[in-house]
Amino acid sequence: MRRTLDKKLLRNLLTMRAQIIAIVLIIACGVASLVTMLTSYSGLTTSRDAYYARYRMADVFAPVKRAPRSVLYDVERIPGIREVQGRIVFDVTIDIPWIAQPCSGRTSSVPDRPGRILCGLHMTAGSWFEGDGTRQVILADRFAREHRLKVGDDLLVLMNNKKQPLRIVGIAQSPEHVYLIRGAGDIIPDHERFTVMWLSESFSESVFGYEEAINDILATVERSANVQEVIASIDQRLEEYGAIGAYALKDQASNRYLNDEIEGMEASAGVVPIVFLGIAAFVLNVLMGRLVRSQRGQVAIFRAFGYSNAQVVAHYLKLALLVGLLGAIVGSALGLWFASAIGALYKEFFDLPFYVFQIDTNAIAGGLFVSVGFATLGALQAVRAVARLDPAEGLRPAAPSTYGRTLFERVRPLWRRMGFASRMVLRHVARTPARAAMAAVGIAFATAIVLFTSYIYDAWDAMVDTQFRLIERQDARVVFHEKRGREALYEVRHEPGVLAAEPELVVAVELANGPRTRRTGILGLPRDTELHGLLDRSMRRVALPEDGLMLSQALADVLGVVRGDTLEVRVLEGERPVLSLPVTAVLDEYLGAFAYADIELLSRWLDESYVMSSVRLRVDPHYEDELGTALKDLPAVAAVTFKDRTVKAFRDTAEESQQLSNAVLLFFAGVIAFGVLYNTARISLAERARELGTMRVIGCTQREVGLVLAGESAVLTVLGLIPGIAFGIWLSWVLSKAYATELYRFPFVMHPSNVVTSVCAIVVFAVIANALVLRRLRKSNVIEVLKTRE
Amino acid sequence: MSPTDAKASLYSARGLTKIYVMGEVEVPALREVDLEVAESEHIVLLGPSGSGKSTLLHMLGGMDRPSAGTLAFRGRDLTHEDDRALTLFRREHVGFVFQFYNLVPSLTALENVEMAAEIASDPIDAREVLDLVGLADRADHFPAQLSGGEQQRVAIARAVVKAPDVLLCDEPTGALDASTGILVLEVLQHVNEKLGTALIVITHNEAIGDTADRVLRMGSGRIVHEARNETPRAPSEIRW
Ligand SMILES: Nc1ncnc2c1ncn2[C@@H]1O[C@H](COP(=O)(O)OP(=O)(O)O)[C@@H](O)[C@H]1O
Ligand SMILES: [Mg+2]
Repeated sequence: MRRTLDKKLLRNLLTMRAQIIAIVLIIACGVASLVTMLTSYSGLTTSRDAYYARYRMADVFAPVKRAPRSVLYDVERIPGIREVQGRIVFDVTIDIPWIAQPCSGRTSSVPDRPGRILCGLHMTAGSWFEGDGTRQVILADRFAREHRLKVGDDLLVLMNNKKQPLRIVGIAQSPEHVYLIRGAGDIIPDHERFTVMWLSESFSESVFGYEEAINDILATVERSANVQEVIASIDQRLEEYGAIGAYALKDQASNRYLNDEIEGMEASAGVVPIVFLGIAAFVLNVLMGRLVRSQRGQVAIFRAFGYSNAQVVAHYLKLALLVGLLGAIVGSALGLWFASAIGALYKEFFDLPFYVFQIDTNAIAGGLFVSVGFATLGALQAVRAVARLDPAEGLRPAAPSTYGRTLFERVRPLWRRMGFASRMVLRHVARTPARAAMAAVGIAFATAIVLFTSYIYDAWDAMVDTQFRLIERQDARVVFHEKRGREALYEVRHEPGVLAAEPELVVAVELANGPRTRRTGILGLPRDTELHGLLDRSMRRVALPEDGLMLSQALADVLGVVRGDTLEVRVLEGERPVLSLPVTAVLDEYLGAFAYADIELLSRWLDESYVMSSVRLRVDPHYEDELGTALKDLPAVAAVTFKDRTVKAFRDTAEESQQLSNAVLLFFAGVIAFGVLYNTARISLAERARELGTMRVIGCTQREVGLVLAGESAVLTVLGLIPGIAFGIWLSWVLSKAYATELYRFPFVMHPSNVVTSVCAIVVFAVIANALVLRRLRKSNVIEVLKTRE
Repeated sequence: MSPTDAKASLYSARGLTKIYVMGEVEVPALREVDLEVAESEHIVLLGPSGSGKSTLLHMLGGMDRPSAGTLAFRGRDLTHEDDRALTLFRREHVGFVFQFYNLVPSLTALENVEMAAEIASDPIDAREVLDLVGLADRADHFPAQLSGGEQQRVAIARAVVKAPDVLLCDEPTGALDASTGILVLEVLQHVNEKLGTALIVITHNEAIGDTADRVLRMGSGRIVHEARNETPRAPSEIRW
C-alpha cells in the first residue's frame, strides 16, 4: 500500500515538475538571501580578524612630530601595553611618467631585516631589503597592479625635496590599509594616484634626517587593558614630542570603513533576508495549499479505497517535505555561490590577501527550517480540509461550482458591453477572493522588489549628482605637503588653465558631545565659497557662520547633535586649543561625515592669520593635462585630483558591487512573479479543464480559450501591481531613512519612469508565465476531458 | 419529418476508421463505417459500452480526425482539415450535448447560451431559445442554482442557439431520471421539428429508439444493424 502511494508521489512530482520547480525556486531565493548575507557577514568578519591577527594589526596609533627612538622604552612600560614599535612616516610625491598628474605616497619605515613586526607586511612578490635598504622600496600591491610595476622596476620619488629613483624590491599588502585613503577629507580610494610604501629604517633615517628618531608609534595592548586609559597615558608621555593624540584601532580610517561595511551588512542581514524569506514563505504556503487542493479528486479516491485520513495527510506532507528540502538545498547552494562572488568582490575592494569563506551552518539550518516548515504548513492546511471530505463527494459528478453576481455588474452599461470571456474572468476572480488576494500579494511583492532595485540605482545617481555637482563644485583639487599662506593661492592661480581658485584648510580635531566623541578633520572654507555648495535639508545654500560649525547629517548622527547644540572642539594641532562652538546647520550630504567652518576661524586656532592645506580649482578642461604636468614640478604639491576621475572611480566601485546584488534582486522578483502567475494559471487550467473544453467544443478557438486563462492572470497582475508600487515606494523610503553609514546615506528619489519600468518588468514576467501555460493548453487536448467523467 | 430519398445528404462517411494508439497497444474504436445522414434526419445510436458510438459522434462533430476513410459534410471533405478549420466547422454547423452538462459555472443560464451565440455568425435570439427549452424564467440563474434536467436543457439551448445544422447528443438523458429525461427528449425533438436541425442521439435506452427516424446499432466499432421507423413516437409515449 505504502509503496503505491510513494510511486504516486514520484509521478506527481514528475507531472507537476514545472509547478514544483517554480515553487522550489521561490523558496530557494528566500533561503539564498539568508545564506548569502549571513555567509558574507561572517566571511568578512572572519577575514578581517584573521588578517589582523596574522599580521599583528596595532591596537593603538600615536603620531608625534619627532621623538627620540628611546621614548619607546617609556611607552612600553605604560600599564596595559604589550608591544611597541616606532617608525618614520612621511608623505612623498611620486612621479609616474605616464600620468599627467603627480601621485602621492606615504612611506613608513620598517626594520632593515624582516621579522615579527606590528602591522606586518604580506609580501605578494619580491623580498625584503638587501643590505641597509638604501634606495629600495617595498610597494603596495594595489598601486603596483594599477601601474603594472614589478620587482626590479624603478620608482621616481620626491623625498625631502630631492627626487630620486627607488628600486622596487618587494610588493606587499598591509592590514593597516585595507581601505586606502589619503586623509580625513577623502572618501574614495584613488588607487591610481595614492599609495603607501615601505622603506628600511636606515634609509628612512638618513633620507628624512631622523637619525635615532621616530614620528609614529604603533602599540598593541593587553586583552584586559582599558584602551582609553592606555591612550591617555601615551598622550601624557608623548606630549613634549608634539603628539596630536593617540587613537585606537576603532578610529583608524581604513579599519573604520571596513567596520562600517561589516556593521551595515549586519544591519541589513537582520532585515533583508527576513523580508525575502517571509515573502517566499508566504508564497510557498499559498502555492503548496493550492497544489494539494487541486488534487481533491485523487484524495477522495484514496479515502474511498480505505486509506486512513492520516495516511493521506502523511502522503501530502511527504510532498511538502520534499519541496521544502529541495528549496533549502537549491537555496543554500545559490546562497553560497552568491556569497563566494561577494567574497571575491570584498577581497578586491578591501585589498585583502585572503578571504575566509566559511559556510554558515546556522544560516543553512535556518533556511531549511523555514523552507520545510512553511511548505509543510501550507500543505497541511489544505490537505486537512481536503481529507475531511466525505469520500463519496469526490466520486459524484461534481455539482457546478457556485458563482454569484459580482460588484462590477452593478455598472450595467459596462457589464452589458463585456463579452462572456471577461465575465467569466471577473466572476472567477471574485468567487475566490482569498485566493486572488494571495496571488495579488505575491505580484505586489515582486513589483515592490523591482521598484526597490531601480530605486537603489537612482539613489546612487542622485547621491553622486548631489555630491559632485551641487556640493563639490570644483574641477580639481591641489593638496600641499604642508600648510601654506595666501601666496600659495596666487601661485596656483597662475598655472595654465586655472579659472578660479579657492583655499581650503583641514584641521585635525576631536569633536565631543558629552561622552560621544569623533576624531575627524574640520574643513575650513572661505565664507563666500563658490566651489563648495553647503546645502541644508531643503537643498538651499547656506553661508558659513563666523563663529560656528556646520555638520553633515552623518556626522551629526554620530555625535547625536542637532542644529543649535554646542560641541566641544579639541583641536589636535598647534597649541591644541579646546573650544566650544555652536552647530549652526546640519547639511544634507550623502557622502562622508564632515564638519565645516570658516577658514579664517580655523587659521586662528593654529595661531595663523590665513593658512590652507589645499586649493580647489575651476579648470579649463582643455588645459587639464598641461596643468597636471606643471603641478608635478612644484615641490610643495603632494597631490592633484580631478573630480571627473574621482567620480568615475567611485561609480566603477559602486557599480561593480551593485550589479551583482541588483541582478540577484531582479532574479528574485522574476522568480516570485513568474512562480505565482505560472502556478495560478496552471491550477486554473487544471480546475477549469471542463469549462475550457466546453468552450472548444462550442467552437471557440485556442486563442479565445487562452484569453480566459490569460485574462485571469492579467486581472491578478493588475490587482498586485497597484499595492506593489505603493509597497515598493515605501520600502525605498524606509531604506533612505534607515540605511546610513558614515560613508554614505541614500537620498529618497522616485522617478515616475521607475514605476513604469517596474510595471513593464512584471508584465514581462507575467507574459512569459502565461505563454508557457498557453503553450501547454495548445498541446493538451482539452476536448478529451469532456469525453470522461469528472 | 421523415427523410425521403430526395432529401439532400448532410453527412457522407466511407470506410471511416479510428484507431487509438495507446503506447504499444492499438485500440480500433471504429472499423470501416459507412454512413449517410440526411438533412434534418433524427437518428438514434444504440450499442454496448465501448462499441464506438462516442467515437463516431466526435468524428461527425469535427472533434477528432479519422485514421482512415473519408468523411464529408455537405460535400465538404472534413478528413484532412486542420484544427482551426475544424474549430470553425464546429462553430458554424454543430451543436453538442453531453451526458454531463458542462455548463460554465461562472455564467448564468442566459449567459451560457449567449456565449455560444456571440461567436456564431447567424445566431437565434438567446432568450427565444431559452423559451424554446422552457427555461425563460430561469435565465438569470447560475448553473449551481439549477436542477440536472434544467442544466441539460440550458446545454441544449446553448447547442441550439447558433442554429446548427446538426445536434450531436452523447447520452443526454444518462444522468437524468425518467420524467426529466422525457422532458429533455421532447425539447430535442421539438428543435428537430421546429428548426429542421438534424439530430443524432446516443443512448443506452432501447425505448428511445422509437422516437427516431432511424436506429443504428453499433458493436465492436461497426454498425451492425440498421432500422427505419416509419412512424416515430413522441417521447411521452415510450416506456422508459
Ligand atoms: N481517447 C481514447 N484513447 C484510447 N482509446 C479510446 C479513446 N476513446 C475511446 N477509446 C476506446 O475506443 C473504443 C470505443 O470507445 P467509445 O467510442 O467511447 O465507445 P462508446 O461510446 O460506444 O462506449 C473503446 O474501446 C474505448 O476504450
Ligand atoms: Mg460513449
